[in-house]
Amino acid sequence: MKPVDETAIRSVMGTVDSVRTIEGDGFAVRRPFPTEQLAMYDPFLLLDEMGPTDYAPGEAVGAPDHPHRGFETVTYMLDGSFQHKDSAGNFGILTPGSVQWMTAGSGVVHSEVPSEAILQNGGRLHGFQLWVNLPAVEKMVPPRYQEFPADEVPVASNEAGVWVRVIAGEALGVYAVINTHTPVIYLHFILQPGASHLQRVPSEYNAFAYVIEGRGRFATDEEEEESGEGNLVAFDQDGGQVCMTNTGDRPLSFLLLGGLPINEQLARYGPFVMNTKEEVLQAIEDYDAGRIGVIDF
Amino acid sequence: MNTEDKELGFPKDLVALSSCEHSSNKPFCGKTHAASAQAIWGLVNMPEAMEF
Repeated sequence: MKPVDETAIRSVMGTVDSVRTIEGDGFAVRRPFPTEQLAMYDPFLLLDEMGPTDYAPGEAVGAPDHPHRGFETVTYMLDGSFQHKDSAGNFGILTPGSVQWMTAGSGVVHSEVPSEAILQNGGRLHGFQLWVNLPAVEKMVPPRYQEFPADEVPVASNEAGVWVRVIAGEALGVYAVINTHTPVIYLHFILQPGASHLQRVPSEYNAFAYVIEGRGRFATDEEEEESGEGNLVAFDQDGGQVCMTNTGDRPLSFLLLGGLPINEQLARYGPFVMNTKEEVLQAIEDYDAGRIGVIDF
Repeated sequence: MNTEDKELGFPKDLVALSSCEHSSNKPFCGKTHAASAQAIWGLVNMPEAMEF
């Protein structure tokens, strides 16, 4: 197989529209995957854009106690605040710009609900939840909880109109502070109108962009269609860089995600993502028996 | 490539799988996922007929 030129710019493989659905106790999400069109994006299992939703006092809802096993959940907030509690004893309030990287591993029960401030006063909730798969040998690792407030998550910008928050990986010479089990890039870019940026993404990584707001082109080919809000842009693995350009008249905000594919058999049911059907059935049995844990504080 | 793949309309590298219990060296699983358009974060009830 011919080696890939790491200086080459990746082409766009295709674009997927996200679907709108309801999660937890009834909050709206935009979901590029899993959908009927795209069930996963190895090593990523799910991406949900929560909101943006404006709640009146007393209206906001979240996802009360529920389990996970076999992967990691990553929550990144843009607006509003969520309260997290889990069966390992962790507690946190996630505010705009903060990131929570929770390795469920062998199993965690957690709750993700609007903070008291949002519940009492109302307000906007907007954020992301990403599920990152774990390889078979790490699916039953002990749970791990990492939480970083906004001022501890590195950001960088340049004079060309590019701003980036580095959740995982590297951009504009700035490195993430979060430890990941698998090699992952997770970047939130905002490009001003007319701005363009080349970002290194190793060719062996699967990579995509998810547009939050604005319009942009994600290839150097000017015939490539522009993408907008709610679009997932899938990159081919034919290069080691991706090119993003704001083609609109307002800021282009998007996530750029990449990861080394795990390439393993997968069996999933709801919040359990394992390698075999038997392992999923065991997870459900363990949860029903209380062996995954309970939140008791 | 089977009919499911063709329906997806992706240019390449999509794999349609007989189930979500799969072995693949491709980036995508193209299987229609039973739980794709519903609440799945807390889907813990044992279904009568679990689809894999």
